[in-house]
Order: sequence, then structure tokens, then C-alpha cells
Amino acid sequence: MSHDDHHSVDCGRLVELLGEYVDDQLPAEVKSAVDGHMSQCAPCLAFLKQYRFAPEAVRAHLLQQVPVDLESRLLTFLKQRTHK
Amino acid sequence: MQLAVPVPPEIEPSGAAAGDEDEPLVERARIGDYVAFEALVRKHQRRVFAVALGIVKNPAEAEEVVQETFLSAFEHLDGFRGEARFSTWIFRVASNHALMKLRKKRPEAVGDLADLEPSMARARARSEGTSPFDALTLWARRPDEAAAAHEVQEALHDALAALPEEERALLLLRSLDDASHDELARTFGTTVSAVKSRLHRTRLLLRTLLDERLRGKPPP
Repeated sequence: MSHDDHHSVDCGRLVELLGEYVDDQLPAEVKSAVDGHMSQCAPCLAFLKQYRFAPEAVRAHLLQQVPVDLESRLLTFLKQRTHK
Repeated sequence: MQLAVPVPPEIEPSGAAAGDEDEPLVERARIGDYVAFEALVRKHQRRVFAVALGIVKNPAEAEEVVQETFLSAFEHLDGFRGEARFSTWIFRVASNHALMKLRKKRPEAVGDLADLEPSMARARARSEGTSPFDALTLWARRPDEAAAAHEVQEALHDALAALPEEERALLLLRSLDDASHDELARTFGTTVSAVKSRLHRTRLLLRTLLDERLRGKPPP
């Protein structure tokens, strides 16, 4: 994607760039502009925290639900099915 | 019996996977070393379950998906050409098994981001109005506590269920496998720019759905 030539970032532009920002895909000068904007904009900083948190929370939420005995049941199942 | 591993050839990875730490185990398993195969199962089973649960949403069905996934892997390990990381391959097999299970139950409910246009419109909104004191921001400061809290778990369950199935699978593979954009593009048969765009829209939507569900429910 193309980035602003002058690397200025307003609140709307920042939201567009968040995906590449959290995935560390932005050119250094654009990342620096995003950092600069966020250091002075509390709503954008809060938005970033929420944007980052959502997938991390999904990951933690799903991993918490893994049954403690899944591994033993799975290994037993696989042994039965593969050692006929 | 040969199971049909639901990884259509046209979306199989086509580039070399650099630095796959599972490669030695995969090589041993491929020549019949069952201990090596079990080591791969032990290493990945929790995250495979999480991917499956994120898609089918039912723990018993998620466990069936895990069983089907590793059985397919065992029977088709020869088909894994080592061109993507083993973890990316196995998670894609799991997500395909999970999506197939869902579609057997609800063939019409594939879902699309366009179906969620009202929520997407809110998700595209600027950050103006977002506050460091919003419930979601406060929960984000305490991620471990948040994931264990009943109100957050309910919100996560609802928000995940609202996401279109393919977008959910993409998000889960990125979150649980840390798959690169390039790996995701190859395994989903699309472009890197499309992966970036879809992931970004899905994260925005997920943030919005969580914000809506947690509003007025800050951490105690």
C-alpha cells in the first residue's frame, strides 16, 4: 500500500495503518509518524491497546478451554487407529 | 483407508519454508518413527484444539476435529512437502476439518464480512471517542485477568461467533500459529495484500464487537 508522502498521520489515517503497525510492516518513517501521533493522542493510544488486546484475548480464551486430559485421550485414539 | 485431507492442491504452499523447527521430527515421522509423530502431536495438540474450538465453538466437536486432523496428518505425511512450516500446514488442515464440520450442520451459514456491514461501519470509525477509561481499555491493561473473567469470556464467545467463518480461521491461524502474511496467503490461496486487509478488517471488527459487549462492564 502507499503511504503519505509527508508521513503526517491523523486519527483516521492511524486506524487504517494499525494492522501494518502491530505487524511491524510499516516503513520506519511512517512508524515514527504513528508513534509521534500516539504520544500526543490519548484516544488513538487507547484504540491501539484495544485493537492489540482483542486477538490476544481470543487466543488466551481458547487456550484456557483445552481439556487437561486431551493429550492422553488423543494419543490413545491415534494409537488405536494407526496400529491396527 | 485414505482420508481426503481437506487441503486442496491449489492452495497448498508453494514456497520453501525457512527454519521450520519441526523439520527433524517431521522427517523422522515420515519414515515411520511413531515416537517422532507423537512428539509432533504433543507439541501442537493444544493450539490445534484452540483453532478448532474457535471455529466449531463446541468442545466435543473440537476434540473430534483434533482427532481427525492428526489422523489425516499421520496418513498423509508424505503429502506434506515441507514447503510451509509443519505448524501452518497442520493448523490449516484443522481449520478445514472444522469448517467442513460446521458446513455439514449449517451449509448455508458460510458468512461474509459484508453481512456485518453495520458493525463494519462502526469498526471503520475513527478512534475519536475512544477513552483510556473505556471498559475494553481497562480490561486490556490486565490481559491475563481479562481472559479468565466471566464477562470477558461471554463477550469473546459472542464476538467470535459473529465473525464470518473464513475470517475467523484466518485470525486464529495468525493468533495461534503466528503465521506470516506470506504463509497465510499461500495456505488460503490469496495474496499477501488481501491477507493484510482481511486481517485488519477482522481485528477492527473484533475490537468493535468486544467494545460493544463490554461497555459498562469494567474490571472490578
